[in-house]
Amino acid sequence: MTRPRSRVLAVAYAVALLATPVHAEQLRALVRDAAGKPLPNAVVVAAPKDGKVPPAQPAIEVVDQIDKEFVPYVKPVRVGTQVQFPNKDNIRHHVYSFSPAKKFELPLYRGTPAQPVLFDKVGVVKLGCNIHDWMLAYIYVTDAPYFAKTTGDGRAHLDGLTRGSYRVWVWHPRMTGAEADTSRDIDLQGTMSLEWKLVLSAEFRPPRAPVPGDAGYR
Amino acid sequence: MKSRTALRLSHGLLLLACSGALLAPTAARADWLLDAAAGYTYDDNLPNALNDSDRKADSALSASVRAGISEQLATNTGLTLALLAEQNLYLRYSGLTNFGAGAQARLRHKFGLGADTPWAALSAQALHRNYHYDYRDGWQYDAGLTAGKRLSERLSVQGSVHYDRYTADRLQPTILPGFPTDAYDVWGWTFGARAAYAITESDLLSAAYAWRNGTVTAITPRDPEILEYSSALARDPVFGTEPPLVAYRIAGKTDIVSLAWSHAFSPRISMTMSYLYRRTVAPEDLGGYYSNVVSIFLGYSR
Repeated sequence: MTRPRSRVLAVAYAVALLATPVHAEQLRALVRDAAGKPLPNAVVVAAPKDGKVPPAQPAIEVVDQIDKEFVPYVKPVRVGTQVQFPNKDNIRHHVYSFSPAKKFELPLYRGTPAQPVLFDKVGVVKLGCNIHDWMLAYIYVTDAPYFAKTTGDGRAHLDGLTRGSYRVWVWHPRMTGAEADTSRDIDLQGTMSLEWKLVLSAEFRPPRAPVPGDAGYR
Repeated sequence: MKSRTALRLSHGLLLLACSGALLAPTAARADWLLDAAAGYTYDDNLPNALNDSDRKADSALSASVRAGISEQLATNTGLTLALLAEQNLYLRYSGLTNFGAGAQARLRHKFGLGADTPWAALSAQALHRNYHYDYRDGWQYDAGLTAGKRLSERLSVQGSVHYDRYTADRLQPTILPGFPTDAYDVWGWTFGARAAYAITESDLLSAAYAWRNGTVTAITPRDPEILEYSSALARDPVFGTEPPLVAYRIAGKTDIVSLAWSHAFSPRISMTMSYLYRRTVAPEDLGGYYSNVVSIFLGYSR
């Protein structure tokens, strides 16, 4: 029972089906691309409509640098979270972000920087490495208490929710439309399944593979 | 002749020794690089013949490897030192088959932070080529400055100026009194521009133009008119002996236009197909020559 929503680029199809009641409320999300293929690295977010949100607990998350790539590619965190950027390569990296939600720079370093970076503003933070220009990752900072990232099968499970009304939406770094266009208002009881279909744009990074005549890197 | 060979070889050994000395202290913490490529090239005018009747075409199978280190000397400045080796196997004119080995250094500076920041790189390379036809053996030097910028997510541009020089190890016996025989010793300045556009996430289309002003070696049957404008000449049996062919060194201005399509199969492996058109104009009424070169290469980068 899907219902297409026109007028939006990031077309969201939502199927809200109440399944058998269980003791804890659960939101099961499935995100696909326009071709119907499961889409990993989409962030599914749920915010109580009554505004009553559990206070954020101090947390430290990690975005690694492994084999000249950020791992993971997408990291959702709650506002106020600190993130460590350990460099697990045997070379130096230079991590930076120009994003308004968090501008920062960790100049040339090995190992783990002494201080984690505090993400205290809601928004998308795009990460780069000034040595290896193809390195790219995103930190999605939200003030919503419930969120999860889709895995390779396009699925994400949001646990620990209480019964009630929620606004639920999806974000993906390559989605062509706005997050707001994907939002759905739901009354959650038991386990609910939601499905989105997102239209994606291409992601153009500086090439890492060898290109004859390209003198850009080393 | 011997002293000339010894001098060239000592240059090469010195360069390799310096590279090794620079590589050693930073080896443990440097970014090791290993690039390899293998491919096929077809050139429809290998002798740089001025007359259509003298043109000779051939194909070559090539393989190359480059290994070295990259090290950030400062926040925005990195140094790459590498050793190179390459083999070019010509299918018809075996005298052109050659093995090259050498070293290169590159100092790259980014003028700020971010992938779109302009950069500039100074580079120097020395490669010794060992041909089946021994008189072609020699050192190939190249030094230059390249600068570039990523204009958008899909488009990047770069410009360069390079000086190249080829110096043969040995000289042939004089064939015309008063005329030097170092016809393979050529040099020139090249000014180039290149634009690359990502047509998909994995496909890059690039177009380049370069203009070279210097000397070239053109191999043709004996020709008094060419001799008049030559600064050196030597016998060259690579393309046959009947009629006898002569390598002339002449001045020339060369336009080079190239198009290439690169497809990345993975972050480490890519394939590049390219077409290159080269036209050299010799001084006065001597005319010029042109070449069409197509190639396909598979590349790997660690």
